[in-house]
Amino acid sequence: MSMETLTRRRGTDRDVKGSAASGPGDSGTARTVAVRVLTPLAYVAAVLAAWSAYVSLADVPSYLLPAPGDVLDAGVKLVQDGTLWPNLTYTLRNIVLGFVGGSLIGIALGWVLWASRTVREILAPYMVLLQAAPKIAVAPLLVLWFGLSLTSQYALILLLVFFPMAMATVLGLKDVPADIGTLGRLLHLSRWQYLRMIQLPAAVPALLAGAKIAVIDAMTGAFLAEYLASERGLGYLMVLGNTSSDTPLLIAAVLITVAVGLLGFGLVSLAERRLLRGRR
Amino acid sequence: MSPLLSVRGVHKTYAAAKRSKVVALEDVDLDVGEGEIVALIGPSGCGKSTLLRMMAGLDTDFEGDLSWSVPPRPGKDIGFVFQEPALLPWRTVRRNVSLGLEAQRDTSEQGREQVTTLLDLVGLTDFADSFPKELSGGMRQRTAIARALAYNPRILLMDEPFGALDAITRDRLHDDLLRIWETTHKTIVLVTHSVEEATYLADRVAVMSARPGRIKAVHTVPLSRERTPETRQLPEFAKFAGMLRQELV
Repeated sequence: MSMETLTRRRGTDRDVKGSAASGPGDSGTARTVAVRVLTPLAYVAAVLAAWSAYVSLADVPSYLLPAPGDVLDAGVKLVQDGTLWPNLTYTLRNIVLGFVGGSLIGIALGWVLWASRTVREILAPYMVLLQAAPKIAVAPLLVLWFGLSLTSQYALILLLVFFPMAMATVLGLKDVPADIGTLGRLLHLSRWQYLRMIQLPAAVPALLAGAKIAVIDAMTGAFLAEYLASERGLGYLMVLGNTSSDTPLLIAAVLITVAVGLLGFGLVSLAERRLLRGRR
Repeated sequence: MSPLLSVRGVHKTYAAAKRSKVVALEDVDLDVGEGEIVALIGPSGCGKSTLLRMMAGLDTDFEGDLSWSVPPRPGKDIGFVFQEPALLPWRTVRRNVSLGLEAQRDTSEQGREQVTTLLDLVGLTDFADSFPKELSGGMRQRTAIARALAYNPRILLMDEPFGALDAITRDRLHDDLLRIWETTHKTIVLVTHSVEEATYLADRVAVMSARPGRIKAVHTVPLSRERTPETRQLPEFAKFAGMLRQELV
């Protein structure tokens, strides 16, 4: 919510261009920034305090719930003994490649679905069926078909990513207002010009909304794949923590995963703010 | 001299519910001369927008003839202004205005100058790099007019272009349009439902009637081409507008 306010206010500042209204606007922005930074910090502090207090007061054994300090130690150890970096980069690479590949497939498929009624009628029901199948159930099948390899991992990520992107593309391409469609005809735009100059830019908000879902799905896919069938990656670290009853390691791995998730979501949101600058 | 565009015996029916046919336009004859401002006025549903869309080549499903002294080249000779500005929100004012030139892959210095001149003409030079959402409704519609003129079309077609604006802004845009006409002498066909607007802007006013849509009368506005806000106070202005209003009843 506060992020929304901030973007909107920046918008207005650009708007008025050197009029007096930017003065009070600035102090408001500063306050919003402070609130924006302090609120999550306060949340984290409160959760850590409650966690810490619960562990020590209720005397919870470490294998059930380790104290925050132990988790931090496990995290530091991961960094120090060089385990974290290769596993983290491995997972990140899979997420990035899977997200980009899945998005491209999704956008292309979305365009075809938008452009051809026949394809839409043939494919759409199967796409929905495919999506309705729980991924946790599909994943072992993929392992069975593609083996314990990168292929099965990518197959799972692509399967998760392409759907939201395809749906967002179909929605976005339909998003051109009637008058602007007419304008395209008046200016005699070719199909390609129309796509490039009007449809794709018009679809950007929808594509970004799809990307926000897809980036989280890409991560889910990557972790799930590693969890089931890998000897590397953050998902593997979780398995390791779990099987060796190293609960601090498990929780540290989960927290790193959450951080990666936030990073991905944050990057898409940043792209959104950049790309939609100037729009309503 | 033959008119730029002459409409002869245009007839359009479309199928409505239960296989009944609705006559949208019947026996429409109209001439539009070079450099002339013609207003099409009529009650809603009289087919005035349909007629305009035919002139723009957007509607080709009709009987009758629409002949041009020089046939319009696709994408180059028709400037169109909608009731809503229909700007691209991700483009700045300047890049919205130059859309038509871009579509024709015109990157000439001349084209760029034309855009600059038009922005100046509609008073948007200071806002050339602003985005549409940062503009007022009137400024957005001015941008839309500049966009329609940027590729120097032979005719400017306007579909109730000021209908969505408040009265003060509307009056200002009327004067802007007259100023644009002074410099460009562009042929303009304007669809409107306001008798004052038609009287103030047009050389001739075609009054249409509804169901079936036909042209009831074409009147020449009895005012000199020099029109200023004072023109609105003239007795001839009120008389002519009153006569149009009578015809519309």
